[in-house]
Amino acid sequence: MSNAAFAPPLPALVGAHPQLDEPAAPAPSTIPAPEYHLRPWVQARAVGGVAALGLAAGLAGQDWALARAPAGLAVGCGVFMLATPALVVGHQYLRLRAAPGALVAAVADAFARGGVVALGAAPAVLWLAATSDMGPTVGLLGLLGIGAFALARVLANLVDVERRAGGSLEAATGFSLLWTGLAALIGLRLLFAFLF
Amino acid sequence: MNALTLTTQVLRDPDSVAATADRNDLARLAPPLLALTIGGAAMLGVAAGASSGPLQSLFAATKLPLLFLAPPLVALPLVHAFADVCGVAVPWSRLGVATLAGLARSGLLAAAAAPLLWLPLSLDTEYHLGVLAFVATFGVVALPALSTISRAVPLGGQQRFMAVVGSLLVLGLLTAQTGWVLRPFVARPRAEVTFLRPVESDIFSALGANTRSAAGDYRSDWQPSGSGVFRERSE
Repeated sequence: MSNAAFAPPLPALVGAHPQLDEPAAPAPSTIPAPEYHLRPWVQARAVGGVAALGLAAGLAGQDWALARAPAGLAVGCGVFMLATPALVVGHQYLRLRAAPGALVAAVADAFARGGVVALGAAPAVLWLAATSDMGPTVGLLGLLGIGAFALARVLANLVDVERRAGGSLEAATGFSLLWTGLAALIGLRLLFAFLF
Repeated sequence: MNALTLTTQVLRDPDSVAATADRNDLARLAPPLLALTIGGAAMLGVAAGASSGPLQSLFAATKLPLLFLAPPLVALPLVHAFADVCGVAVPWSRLGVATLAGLARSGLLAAAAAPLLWLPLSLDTEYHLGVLAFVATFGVVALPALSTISRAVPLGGQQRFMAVVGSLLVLGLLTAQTGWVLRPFVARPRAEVTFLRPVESDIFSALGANTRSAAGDYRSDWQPSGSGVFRERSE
């Protein structure tokens, strides 16, 4: 086969993006590596936790709440599937340093933490749902609070993986803030769609 | 460690009781700490129910220890999960001893506050004011337990502030709602003495109505209605 069948190689980018040509030494990290989701049973606890929170909130016997109990799980999965591609693509397009795998790990780590917190909150929501009509309200507030907690962790993780890769912290912070805002809006939109 | 030493340590420095706790300490310390909690809470219950006679005192003394013990039992999984995800994992045994130490401290404060609550209630204080006095007394004696539990989680980690505030809010909410479920502690004058009332409405709507009534505003027609799993199903 002739070499002419292939496109000519892309010109080298030497000098065009100094930050790519001369990797800086990784800066010391301030938080642990985003590996929480790799611990044994954490993924099962996280998924089970969000589902349990929804079911606990629906226990009040209000049919609409019970029917929408899996909303939290759907919102979490939806945000992960809809927003993460934008994170990876935008990150690479802007030529930030962190590898795509590290970005996905940063998001998965934070979502797993949120799910584990949801599992811890489920008994409290169950008790409130069983003894009052506050179950759906508390469940919704719990989902919003845990979502905010997880997104704050995503933000910290994304800046940290860029720091570890020796990239620009200013650019990473700005992009991560924008992406976190996008993820929050997608999450709210999905929550609204599933609950109302 | 004898009972008096433990009592003194719980009052002066409850954090030190939990600081070195391991699984063996939990088994050793749990009985005396539970006894202090139950005894102290029961004394506050006796004072709260005294204005309605000995039977109400007995009922309140039986229920108030549950009000001390049930909310932390439900909230501890959240406290533990928050600590875990914030990177400051705290062993269950340490969290358990810290909770028991905090509750024992609150129990002792409750015993000390019992006469302060009994005094106005014995003077035929208006019912709604009596309820508010009981809620305020309970809140004051319960706060040290919340503080001890929050300090059981070691310093450091990420988002610890958010985790502590979230845990304490949930614990406070659970305590308030549990108190509502276990009512009455202060019985209505001329009302039939009962151990428990039906599960109705929630603490926030009740406190709002009670505060309005205490201020002399009886215009609202608030009535508690069945809620939670006890809600009447519509056909």
